[in-house]
Amino acid sequence: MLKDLYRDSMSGIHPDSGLVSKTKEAMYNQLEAARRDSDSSQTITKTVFPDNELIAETGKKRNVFGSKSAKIACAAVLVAVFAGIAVIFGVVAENGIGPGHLDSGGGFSGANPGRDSSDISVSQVNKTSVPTVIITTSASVVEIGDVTVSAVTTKITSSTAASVTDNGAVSLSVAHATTTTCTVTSQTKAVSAAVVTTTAPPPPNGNEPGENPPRDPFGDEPHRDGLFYYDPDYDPDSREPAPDDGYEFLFKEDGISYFFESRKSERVLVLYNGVEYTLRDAIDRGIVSHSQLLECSAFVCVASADDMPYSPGAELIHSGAKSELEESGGCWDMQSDLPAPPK
Amino acid sequence: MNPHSSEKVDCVEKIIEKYSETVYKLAFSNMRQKENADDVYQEVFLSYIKSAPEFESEEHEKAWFIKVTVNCCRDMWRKESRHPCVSLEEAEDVPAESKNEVLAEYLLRLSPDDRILIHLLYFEGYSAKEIAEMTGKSPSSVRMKLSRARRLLKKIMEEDGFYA
Repeated sequence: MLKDLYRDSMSGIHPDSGLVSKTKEAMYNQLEAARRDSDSSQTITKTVFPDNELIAETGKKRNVFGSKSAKIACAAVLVAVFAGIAVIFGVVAENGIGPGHLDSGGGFSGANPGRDSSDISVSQVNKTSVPTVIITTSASVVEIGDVTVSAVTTKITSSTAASVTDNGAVSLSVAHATTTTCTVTSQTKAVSAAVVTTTAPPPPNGNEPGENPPRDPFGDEPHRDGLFYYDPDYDPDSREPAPDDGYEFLFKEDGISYFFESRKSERVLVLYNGVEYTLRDAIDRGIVSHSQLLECSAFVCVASADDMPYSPGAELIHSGAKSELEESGGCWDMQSDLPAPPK
Repeated sequence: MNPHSSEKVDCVEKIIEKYSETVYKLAFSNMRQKENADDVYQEVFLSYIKSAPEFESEEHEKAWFIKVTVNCCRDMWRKESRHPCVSLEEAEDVPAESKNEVLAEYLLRLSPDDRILIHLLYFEGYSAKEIAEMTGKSPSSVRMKLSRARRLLKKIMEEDGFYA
């Protein structure tokens, strides 16, 4: 009955013709832009290896490249080799369009004559278990905000993984992946595309490479530090404190508030009607029921007084809520906050 | 005359024809607002062009469109939470008349995520397991959420005398 009603209610929902034609036009334009990009961009492939010293310490992988300077030398050789290959195959663009050539100075000719492969360097700078790749191009070429970074794999998104520093370098963080491939392009076509491949060490949460970290209720991947960041303007790699001291308001709808909670604070906060409660306090006051904990991941809590009437909390706790939580990578680590179920 | 090459026109026409309804209905079921559903619709098809994914099968392709639509809806909700706005229609508080409109109002009482689950189950006919794969939840979690959402819908509809 409900199913039929629902299907019936959706039968009159269609995209209008204006929307369809606008979307098609936007798709044509994007295809055209992609074609222009591929015609005009040059590609240099570089390989950056993980923090070998760290891996050597943990004994998980042999340090085959030795010191940092040796790694940089290897990268420089690779750059030269791939740049040469790119020129030979006519991939290098001249003035952003068409096949290119090697100018007399050995650099790429085109929009920025004299620029050569040394304009782009790739290095891995940090010494932690979380690798950061820095791609540096000449400051005169890259304008801040003009560089876009797109991920070939789905592990990295441009909004969260890349930032452009004042001197024109692109800082690119590497997600949990055994291999992550990223493409860096400039909208002005002034900067070559660079493909960076890096092998990341195991993420800090103890997962093995390739093993899925816990998911949040929205199905998102956590950042590689194991936390979820929902503010698109916040860069976890900036080392700046997260907004609002470790937790972040997500959204509120129909009396339901979704909250971010940092694992580091070891507290779950519930904001209800503008007042902040600890989880225990919220349960005691009837703001959150047991069953609503089903909606929690380790870091996100959903609270709604409106949900209470259909939340037979204690019953759920007894009828397999624990396994439910465990199976969904849920918040059972908060069980110490739970009051004893009613007898 | 269309200034674009016939190859591009074919590609765009084909994909729009195939998934236009699926994407729009799912976006609308979640957003319940035409303007936002329109935005999500455009975003999904542009993502398709941008990422140029390769698919193993028709099912895989359809699942991709559903997954991207779900993600775009979530992004839209997050943006909305930072810059909340009310459409004119909503602000005027027009009373619902038809049965469909009344049902639409009931659906608004579910969370956006639950509306997606209900749509994928009732309209697209996916199983809990398939929905779980598309939404990144466990099958048991999907079953639990669906059960709660349906229970809630039934309850509020009975309270309002919808079945009378």
